[in-house]
Amino acid sequence: MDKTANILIVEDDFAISLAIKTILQNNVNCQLTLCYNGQEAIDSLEKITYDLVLSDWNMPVKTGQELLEYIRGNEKEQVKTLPFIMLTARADRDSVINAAKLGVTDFIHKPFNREQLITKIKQALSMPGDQCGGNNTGKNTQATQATDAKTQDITIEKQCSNRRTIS
Amino acid sequence: MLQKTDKKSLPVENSFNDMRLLIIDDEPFNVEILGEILVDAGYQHITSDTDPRNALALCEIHRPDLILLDLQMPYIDGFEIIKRLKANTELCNIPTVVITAQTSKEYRLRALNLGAKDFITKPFDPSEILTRIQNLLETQKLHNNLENQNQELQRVNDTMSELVSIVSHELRTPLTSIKSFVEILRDENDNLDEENKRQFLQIIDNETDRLSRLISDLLDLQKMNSGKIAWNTELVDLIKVSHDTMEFFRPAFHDKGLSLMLNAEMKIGHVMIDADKIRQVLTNVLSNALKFTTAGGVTITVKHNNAWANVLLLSSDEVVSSQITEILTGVSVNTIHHTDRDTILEHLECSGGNTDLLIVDISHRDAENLVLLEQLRITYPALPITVIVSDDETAERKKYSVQKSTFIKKPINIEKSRAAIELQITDLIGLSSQTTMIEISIADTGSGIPIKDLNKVFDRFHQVDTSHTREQSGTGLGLTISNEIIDHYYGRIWVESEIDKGSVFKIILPELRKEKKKLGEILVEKGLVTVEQLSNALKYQT
Repeated sequence: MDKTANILIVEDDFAISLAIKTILQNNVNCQLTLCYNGQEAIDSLEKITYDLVLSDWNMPVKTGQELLEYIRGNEKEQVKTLPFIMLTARADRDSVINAAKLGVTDFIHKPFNREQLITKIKQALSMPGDQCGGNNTGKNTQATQATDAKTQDITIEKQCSNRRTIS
Repeated sequence: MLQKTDKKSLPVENSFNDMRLLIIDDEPFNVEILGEILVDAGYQHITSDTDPRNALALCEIHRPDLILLDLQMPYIDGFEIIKRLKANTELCNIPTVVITAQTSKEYRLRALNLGAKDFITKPFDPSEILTRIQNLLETQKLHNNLENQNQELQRVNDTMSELVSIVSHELRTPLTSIKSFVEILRDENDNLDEENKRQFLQIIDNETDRLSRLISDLLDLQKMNSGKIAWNTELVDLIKVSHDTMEFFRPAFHDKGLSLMLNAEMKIGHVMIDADKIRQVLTNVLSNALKFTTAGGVTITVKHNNAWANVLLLSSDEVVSSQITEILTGVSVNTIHHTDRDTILEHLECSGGNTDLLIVDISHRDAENLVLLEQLRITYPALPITVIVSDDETAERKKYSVQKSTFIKKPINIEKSRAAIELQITDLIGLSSQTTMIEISIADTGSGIPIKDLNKVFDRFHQVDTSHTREQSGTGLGLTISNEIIDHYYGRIWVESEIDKGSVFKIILPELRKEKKKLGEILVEKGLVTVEQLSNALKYQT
């Protein structure tokens, strides 16, 4: 990538957020904005134009799902079609399928490795805008989900009820 | 309604006498005879009603093991009741015995086809009735046992799945940081200065601690839930423990520029508790207070408090409310009085676990509160309720739930009612009303907790927004474990809070006093201390 990419990172765990920041700063030509929950991200999206969103799923105040719904339902075409990478610690098929339906561009599972993070971010940034989610990309996201489910060897688990009360 | 429970029963061998029977017959005479027969046979839990319209509601509330049902009744007949029972997934397994006349063979067949299990014929033949009932109860007992075992297995299974899910999620978070920073230190070494490296190593260290705390907390909780934890109960001076814990935290508070104080009442006695575990509770609460307070500080107070029970009163009658207030002053509790149902419901929903007793007036103008009462019995089956009624007859008719309800008649007799309410409150923690309580409160000037989350803070992995505090994250299990510990020693822990003003965590524990033997006896009885330990402990008490 020649151009400096503007990336929004949404992660409520300070240490993980710092790790992502350090890795991306040193390996991707980018400018980073860090938010600590979905609501902060929404506020920031109203002011700044981004090229990519990398977001955690389980967060207080507003979850990753709520953030994605906001983005995919946005009036501005630029926001609506933003590449959205979901960071998730929960290898839960339901939430992955749900996220895929909502138009997630790609997934990164915690604990991730550095190479994988860099590759997936670069990949998402090199995608033409019209392939990165939105209404017309159902086929694309489903395909991503299917390969992902296979390679990550996702196990089906019951959702943690305590967490659901927050999200 | 007829309650045969108090009647002296004959010493009959009956292995089913703990099972619940419900009689629905519009003819009071039939109810009377059947009741006599059953009571004489040793059955102890018999409920009846002559109004068939109450049948389903009574089934919902009492969950009988068997129903004796008349077929020909006004408003709604026995056939219809059977149909409705069969259509209800929770009630469809209650066996029904229909009551018919000798001649009505057609009726019997129709009832049996609809799902009735057996029939008895009028005029009643006691030995035949008892045999038929016993046959059905035998099957029902097996059914109940299986259902209980099934529920227990389901519970174990749910706990296991939850644990797996928790382990996969909660343990991965610190693991992610550790892995990432190790990779950064290995692969990005050229881009990092000394300061970065030190910070990253510190994070790895912190996150490793967090991971190991998570594992030990999870194991602790698991042990507590399965009753496998060792409790080293001893005589503990709460002021000393509070002081020691405070001193442990002092440097951290000092670093954040926060004050930390201890106020203790004179002549506070000791409690019988596991010293390490009460220290663990105080540490959990104090580390939360430290985390969520940015200005001001924390005050720990140790004092006597016997007014720990929270009572909700619903009545529009001013005389009633002033009398209840008078009664409760004697019992010393916190009372919240409201005149409208919606406010009470809202209050219960927000702080369900914090309400210890609900007093509801259903007399005269407040007659409609009865609807609320029935609803609450189903929503909060364990909530103790005192019902204020206008006369004996109403009390009898409206005794919708035998357990956990007490009735007070109008005009209110202060002394009698006080005794009744006192009994309900002391029943809550299983100690006598003579027990004195010691309260430790930890008040911070932090951000406060929204009302809707007040009960949830004791839930496992309740998520709070800690991102901006930049503090090390907790395990999300500390308060859950604290709750288990305090509960084990007949205490209570709860939190009161106001947004932007701060939160107060309160812990009450029963005080051990020489002249009050009851507590000691209970502790020995429950195997928490040995007789020897207790008498040694009491020697040092003044």
